[in-house]
Amino acid sequence: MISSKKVVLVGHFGVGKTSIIRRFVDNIFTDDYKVTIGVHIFKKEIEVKGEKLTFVIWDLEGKDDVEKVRKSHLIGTSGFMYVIDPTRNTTYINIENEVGYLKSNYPTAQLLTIANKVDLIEKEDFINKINFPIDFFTSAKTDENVEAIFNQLGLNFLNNE
Amino acid sequence: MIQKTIDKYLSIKVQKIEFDLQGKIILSDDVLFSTKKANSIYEIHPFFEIIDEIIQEKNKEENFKIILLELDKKTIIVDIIVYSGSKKQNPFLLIFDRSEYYKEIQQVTQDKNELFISNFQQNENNKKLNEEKSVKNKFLASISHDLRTPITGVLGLLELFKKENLSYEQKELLTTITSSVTHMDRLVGDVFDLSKIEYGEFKIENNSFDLDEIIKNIERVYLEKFILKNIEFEIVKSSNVPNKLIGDYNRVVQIITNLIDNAYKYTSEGKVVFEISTDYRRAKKVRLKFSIKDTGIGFEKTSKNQFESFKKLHNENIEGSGLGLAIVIKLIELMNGSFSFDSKIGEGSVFEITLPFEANIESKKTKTVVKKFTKIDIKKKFNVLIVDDNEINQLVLMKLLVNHGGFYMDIANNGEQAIEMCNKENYHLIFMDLHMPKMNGFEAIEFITNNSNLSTTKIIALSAYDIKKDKEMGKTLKVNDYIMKPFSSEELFTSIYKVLKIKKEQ
Repeated sequence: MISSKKVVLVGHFGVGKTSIIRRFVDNIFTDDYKVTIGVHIFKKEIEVKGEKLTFVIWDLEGKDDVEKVRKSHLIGTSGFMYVIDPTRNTTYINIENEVGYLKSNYPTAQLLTIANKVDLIEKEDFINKINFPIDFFTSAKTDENVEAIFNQLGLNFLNNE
Repeated sequence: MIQKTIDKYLSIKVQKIEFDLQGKIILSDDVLFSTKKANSIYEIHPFFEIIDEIIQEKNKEENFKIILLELDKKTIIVDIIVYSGSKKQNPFLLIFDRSEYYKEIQQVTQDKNELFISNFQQNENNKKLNEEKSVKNKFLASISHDLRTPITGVLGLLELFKKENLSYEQKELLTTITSSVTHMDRLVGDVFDLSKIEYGEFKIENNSFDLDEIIKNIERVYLEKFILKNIEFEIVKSSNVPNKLIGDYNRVVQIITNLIDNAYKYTSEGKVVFEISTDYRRAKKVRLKFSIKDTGIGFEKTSKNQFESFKKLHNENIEGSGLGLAIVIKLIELMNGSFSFDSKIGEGSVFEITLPFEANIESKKTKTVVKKFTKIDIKKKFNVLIVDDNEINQLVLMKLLVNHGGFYMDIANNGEQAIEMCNKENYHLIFMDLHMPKMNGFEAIEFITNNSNLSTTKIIALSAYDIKKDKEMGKTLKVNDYIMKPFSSEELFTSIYKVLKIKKEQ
């Protein structure tokens, strides 16, 4: 029986999903944008409230519509991170529908909404603009809140076991 | 040969792995990677942990496309089929190596996404730039209005002041003040013009005009100024230059006066020559060359952009915004002309421009009639209402009317008050400022002209904004005349005489 938790990062291309994972797993960041096609899978163990948790993190190719993601890729998902780029409105224009779709089709999975690239925006202005709850503002570049999102997901897993 | 090519094209390496329900590897052909060190399928790569979920149900097949696996220190991109097993068949995996194909896809996707993001950023930048431009445009228009209102007031009061009994010193001071305020008025006009040119609101007009009239006006304005500065000023017009032209008279004057002003400012001894010649002519098309040469302080030629807005050529204490030449160059561009210059420090400068016109060969020789203003003594008294929110403007208009004589005056501070007063009193004429708080001039005019009881009341609209824009906005308004602030007393009374039909014999 596998005890690790499958976490899937979804969202449009270029929002920084791979960068968040690379920062979390290997603590590296590069400004060069390298497109992800298909799926890259990473593994990392963390400790939450004294308990060890292993994340198997699926980095999916960016899609402008979450329904276009292959269903097989989402089998056994325990947690979603829906990532947007606040500097590109096309990446969050449909966030309500996208998040709604994930919640209704994967009701037992945890979900966090994440606005990456916070180093490039005025956070308060953006909050007023988007009018949709964002759980975390991260920056893979400055390492802001990257560990925090995985810790939060870990806590959510523990609290819902 | 054909079959060989097909086989080569279709040849894909496939690894087969059979395992039990605990994930223990039963069989693997290790075509792509070795499984020898792994006790179970789950130890090979974290991807395979998903199999634990799939094998919970019998006879199930799941397809996974484009999975990137880093194994045995190499990266392969594969498609994977997982079969969950049945009574007769252990669960198995088929791993298809499609690295070559997907690497190509990756490159195409990379290019596509990069282009998309770069286009998006470009569009965002353009959007931001346009928004900034529009904000700047509005700001300039509004600041120009706000500056013009007090300037109008000050200029009007200065004009009234001139008529008082003043000592020589007081007159001198008054001349200096007037010159400074006039200069300020011109600077505000320059800023307004430049903003309009930059945002494409500036229109070049085509009308018939007399080149000799321009020359005469320049002579009239500058000759005395140059004599007072002890500088020789010469105007040379070649004999083959046509006199009757079709083009934008006002802009030609603006360009030439800007350049002569410059020569005047930076020359303290010697000579300034303004020369007009024909650069090119074919049938009606004519291109004229205007050159302004001075023996002034000159400047160092650096780059083509040295006449950009707000860049002054000298740090000398000579007044100017640095906008004059920027406007000249932009106007010349708009008129499809050309601009060149040469300068040497200590020797002087020469500016040469060419502008295209149409020679108006059909026009008959007509004597230029210069309209002269003559004051008319009004015997009958007219009831006048001044509507303006600015107290100085009210005062100026009132004083001008009092000094002229023949008017009873009332004052309203906004459109709302004006309407109330119109209901109580019969006015022959209303001076209506168009831009006021509470109720602006446009609304008030509409109300007054739609009221049948006020049908005989004449209206003269006053505006410090671009009068053309106001005219556009007020196209449906039935006003009798428009005056742009700042106005001279001559302009004011010419308009009053016209609107109230006041003639000399009255």
